[in-house]
Amino acid sequence: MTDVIGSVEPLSPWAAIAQSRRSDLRELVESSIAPLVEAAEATQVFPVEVYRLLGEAGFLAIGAPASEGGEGGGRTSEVMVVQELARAGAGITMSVVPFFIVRIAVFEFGSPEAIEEVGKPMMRGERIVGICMSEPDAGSDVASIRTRAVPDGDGWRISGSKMFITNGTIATDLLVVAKTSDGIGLFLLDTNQPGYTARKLDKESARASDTTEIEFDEVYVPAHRVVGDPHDGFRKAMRVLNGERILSCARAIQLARDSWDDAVAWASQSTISGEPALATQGFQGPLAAALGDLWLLDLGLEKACLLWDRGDAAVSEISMLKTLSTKKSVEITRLAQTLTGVDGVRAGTRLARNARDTRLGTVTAGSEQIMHRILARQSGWPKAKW
Amino acid sequence: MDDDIIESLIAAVGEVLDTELAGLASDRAARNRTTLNRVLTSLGELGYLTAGSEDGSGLGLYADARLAATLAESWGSLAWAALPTLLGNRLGEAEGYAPTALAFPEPNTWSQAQLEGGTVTGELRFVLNADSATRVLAVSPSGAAVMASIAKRRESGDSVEGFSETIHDSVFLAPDGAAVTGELVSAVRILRASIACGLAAGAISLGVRYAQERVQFGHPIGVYGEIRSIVARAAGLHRSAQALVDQVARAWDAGSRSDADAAQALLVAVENSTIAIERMQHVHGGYGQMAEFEIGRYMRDVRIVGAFDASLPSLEDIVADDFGLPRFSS
Repeated sequence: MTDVIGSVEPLSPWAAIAQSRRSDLRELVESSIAPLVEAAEATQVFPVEVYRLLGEAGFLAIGAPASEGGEGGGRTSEVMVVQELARAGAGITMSVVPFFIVRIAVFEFGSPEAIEEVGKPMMRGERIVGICMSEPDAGSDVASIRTRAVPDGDGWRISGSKMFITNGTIATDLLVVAKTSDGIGLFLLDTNQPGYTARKLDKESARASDTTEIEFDEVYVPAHRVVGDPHDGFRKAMRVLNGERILSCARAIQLARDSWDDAVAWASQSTISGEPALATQGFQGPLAAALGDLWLLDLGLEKACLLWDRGDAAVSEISMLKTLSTKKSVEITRLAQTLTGVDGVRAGTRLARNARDTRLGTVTAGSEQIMHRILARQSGWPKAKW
Repeated sequence: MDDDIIESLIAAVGEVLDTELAGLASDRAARNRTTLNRVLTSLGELGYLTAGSEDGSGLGLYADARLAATLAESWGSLAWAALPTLLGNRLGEAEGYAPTALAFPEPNTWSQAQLEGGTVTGELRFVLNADSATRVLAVSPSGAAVMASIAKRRESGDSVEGFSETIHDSVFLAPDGAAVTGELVSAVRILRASIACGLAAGAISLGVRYAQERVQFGHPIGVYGEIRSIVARAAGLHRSAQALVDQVARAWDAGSRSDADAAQALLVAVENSTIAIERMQHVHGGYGQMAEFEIGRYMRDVRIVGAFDASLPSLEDIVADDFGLPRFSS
């Protein structure tokens, strides 16, 4: 994207770290990950070597504090990783985002054994993780989940169904949200345990990711893999989900930027009545307007990361940004397709893929309606019944 | 009188579709090109694809537009595959479902071909239905339409995301060319606008059904204000676009043939329908992204309707010209 905006001091103290690692990651993505995308999109099989590549190069340790064996860099650096991956495709990114979310849960709330067993190997790309929240009848309504965890000796047994679970067929470990006798708990489940089955779903979007429907039939979870108090996990789950939303925003903004770039590149090479399309106001006007949207979204994302890294939950800011960034990414991609004619819908192009993938962003990690409910609650408004 | 006949025609087509397409929602594998050809052949034999043409029932472009919308509402690829036949029949080719290919006025389609003196030569790209046709109805960006014979096909053509049961191919034209057969570019735009509206109507039906059935927070999501607002606004977008398309098609039949009106109808229909379908997909939540749910197909298809033409600013130029705005000259 053309840099038309004057340079200003970055808000985040982590910006320098993120920037210094960006070129290395871009090279890795372009040389080793992007070439895997076409086959992954066609087969809907996520190339698990992505985790190994990222782990070996240290990009799965980025963002985590040194005390956890990480490289530092805060959420700003994680956003950088997600955005560089998103340049290769939203599908690839979808299967990596759960890593950052589960890492929050394991290191903030997990036992020392769980950190050793799962947390640290994760950062080397040796374990693949996912988070199990949505169910067939409980998507937006997280509180109505039916998956249950019941005590069994020192551990727990989990039974139930989960829906739209990323990495279900490839994960070694899943963070499962389940009801207990007196609340909701988080459980770090080993997928090699008996009773675990995952079925891959056939999707319209983010096809390179592994999206599944999961059944738990009394799957055993030992005590050291319970993440925090097993009856007080709802707030932890919401914190984890809020962390995922920042990364969803980052992905949406990157897809919008890529769509915008593609439209500008197309308009630079195409002519109308003998003039480059980009030399006409019909193209310049909508593209310039979209540039303003992208700038504001970047500022919002930077601010949300800064707040998170300072320890602020930033619930309102992240909810606002989630609604706005996913909506704008759909609009900007729609604009790019409209401007580029048949080239914008040609199978296999980034723009055609983005058109599918941006719409996914409006429903993952909480739909725009859920973001509105959160904002209404944060604003102290009465609970809306209908 | 014609309106009554057209309404009867649309109702009869609806009955054929209900019979022919029963079970396709649960048997996705059956939604293929063989089924598509079978349904269109049936419709052709019953005379429904020639209802609008002068050599057929003579009911006009409005009848064809209604038919295209009705087909698209059930299955977008049906309308898309029928498009060349509807246009060919308007040129006196009233043969039912004829194996005709269609080259759109999109500049990329014509980048390797030339139209001179009624003869078209070279390679046309993104040609619809070229696999089963020996001739192509080529609608050029300048507005002239030419029926040309196909000399050969490229082995691997370009494909697009949407109308996945149809074939878009590259064809090379026979060196002896063909005769100019008429001005069709605006008729193509009106029919495509109607297809966009039909897709929106189908998507809204799916969205409404989902909102009635999906329960969250203890109630069908259709009780919640935000979902009700989304449906109400999508329906408004659809109805306003369909009303414009119908008006332009009727004016066309009455002899008031306006390229600007056709361009405007296409602009509004594609924009309104795209937004309406996007919102219906959103109503479906995560299930809207699953291949087994039909809504995703409507979304992919509607983007294609708008793509096969001059760019958006070019269509806007046609409308602006009609208002008498001056063109830039250095």
